[in-house]
Amino acid sequence: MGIQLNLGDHLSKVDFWFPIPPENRAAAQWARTQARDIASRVSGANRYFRNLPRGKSLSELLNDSTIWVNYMNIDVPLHGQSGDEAPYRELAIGYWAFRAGKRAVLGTLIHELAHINGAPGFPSLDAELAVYYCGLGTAKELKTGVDDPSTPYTPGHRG
Amino acid sequence: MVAFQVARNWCVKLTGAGCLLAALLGCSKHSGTEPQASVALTADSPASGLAAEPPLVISADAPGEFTVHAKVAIGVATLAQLEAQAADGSWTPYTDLDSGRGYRLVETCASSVPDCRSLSAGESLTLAPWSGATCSAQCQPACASETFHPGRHRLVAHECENPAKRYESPPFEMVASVRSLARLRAAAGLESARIFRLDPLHPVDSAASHPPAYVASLRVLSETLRPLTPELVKDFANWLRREEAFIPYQLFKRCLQRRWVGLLLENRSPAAAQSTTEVAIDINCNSLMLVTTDGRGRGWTESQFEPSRSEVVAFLRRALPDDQELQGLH
Repeated sequence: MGIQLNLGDHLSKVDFWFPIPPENRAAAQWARTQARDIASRVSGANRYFRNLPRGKSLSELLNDSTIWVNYMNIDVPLHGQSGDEAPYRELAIGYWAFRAGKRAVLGTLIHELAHINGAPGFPSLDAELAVYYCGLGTAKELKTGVDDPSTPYTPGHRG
Repeated sequence: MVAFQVARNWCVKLTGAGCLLAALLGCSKHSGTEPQASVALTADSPASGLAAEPPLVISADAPGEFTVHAKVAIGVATLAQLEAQAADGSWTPYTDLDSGRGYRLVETCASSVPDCRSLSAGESLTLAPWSGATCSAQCQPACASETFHPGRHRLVAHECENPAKRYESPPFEMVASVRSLARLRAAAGLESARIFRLDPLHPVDSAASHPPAYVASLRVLSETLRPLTPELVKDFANWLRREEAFIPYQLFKRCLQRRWVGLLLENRSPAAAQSTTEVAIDINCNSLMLVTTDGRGRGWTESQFEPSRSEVVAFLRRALPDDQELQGLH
C-alpha cells in the first residue's frame, strides 16, 4: 500500500495538519506516483537515502504505510513540514507548495521523507540535497548555488 | 548577484509571507524551571543527616545541571548514578548512559580523572551536565538513535571508601524535550545579550563559523550590532522559558529562510565553556535556532514559535528600532 495520503481518514498528531483538500488531491497523488517512479528509475535516489542516518531507501519509505501525508495552510511561506518524534511519523505539504505547482509538491515530499529518514534540520543541507539526488535539480544549481526556479531543488536550503 | 538571484527565485517559489496564528497566543504563565535551592540529601542512615550538616551537598540548577559542594574533605566516586522516579515513587538508575560509561563527576569531558575524586573542604565541582538523553548523555557525541527522558530524576553520588554512603541531589524535573531543555538553559542566568541582523545568503559550514563573526553559522552584520537593554534581556529570557510560546513537536520546515536576527547571550555560569549561547531567529519561518556548548561539544536545536510570533516581532522591533525591515513586520 505504501505511504498514505490523509484524505480524511487520519487524525494527525500535529494539531494544525489536516486532510488534503479535494482540490489538491490530484497533485498529491501525482507526486506520490512520481516519487515511486524516481525510486525505480533514478539510480542515485535510493543510494542517497540509504546514506541518511536511518538508512532506509526511498523505495522502502514509499512502501511504508505507517507514514502519513497531511496538508497545512499557515500564513508563512512554508512548503512542507515533517516530524518523526514518537509516536508519529508523518509530514505535511503546505498550501504554498500546492500553489507553486505539482513539481513543488513532489520536491517537498522528497525533502520531508529525507527528514523522516533522519536528515537533520538547520544548518544541514542533507534534506534538500535529496531533492537533487532524485533528479529534481540541475548540476549547475548544485555547482553554483544559484537557484533555477524551473526545478524543485533549491540549492543552499538548510534544514 | 548570486544573492539577489537566490532571493528572487525564492520569491517566485514561495510567494508571500505574513503574520499568523495570533489566535494561538497564550497567556504568559512561566513554565520554566527555576534553579532549585541547594538541598543535601544523604546517606545510608535517615536519622544521621537530620541534625548535622552533610559532608557533601549536590545542588540541581537548571534541569540536568549539578554542582557538588564538599563541606569537609571527602573522597567521592567519579561514577555517579542518575535515577528516574517511576509512577509508584520508586527510583531506578539508568545503566546505559554514555554507552555504559555512565554519568561521571567531571567538570569537562576533556578532563581525565581518577575513579575516586578527593575533594577538600569547601571545594565545589560544577559538572558537565546531563543532556536528558541516554546514549549521548554527558560526553558521548550525538547518537543516531536517541531517547530523551522527561520526568522526575535525581543524581546520586557515593563515597569512595564506603560506597553504601550515598548523597542525593534534590529531585528535579527533566523537561519534555531536548528543545525545551536548550531554551531553559539559554535562559538560565542570562545576564546580557547583543542583538544584530544575520546575513541569510552566505552561511558557512558550522565547523568553521564561530562568534563573533558568525552566529549559528550565519554571518553577523556587525554594523547592526547593539546591546539589549536589561528589560529586553529579561523579556527574552521569559519568552525562552514559556513552553506555550513554542510548538511542542519537533518539526522540520521547508521554508524560505530570508530574514534572520541573531543574538549572543551571555549566561552566568561557573563553567566558561557554557557561558555563551548563539541564537538565530528566522522571522520568515518562525524558527528559533539555539547553539549551545556542553561536554559533547556544540549542539543545535530548532524550535518553532508560531504561537508567539507577534510577541517576537514586537520584541525585535523594540530591540532594533532603526531596522526598517523589522519595523515593517506585522
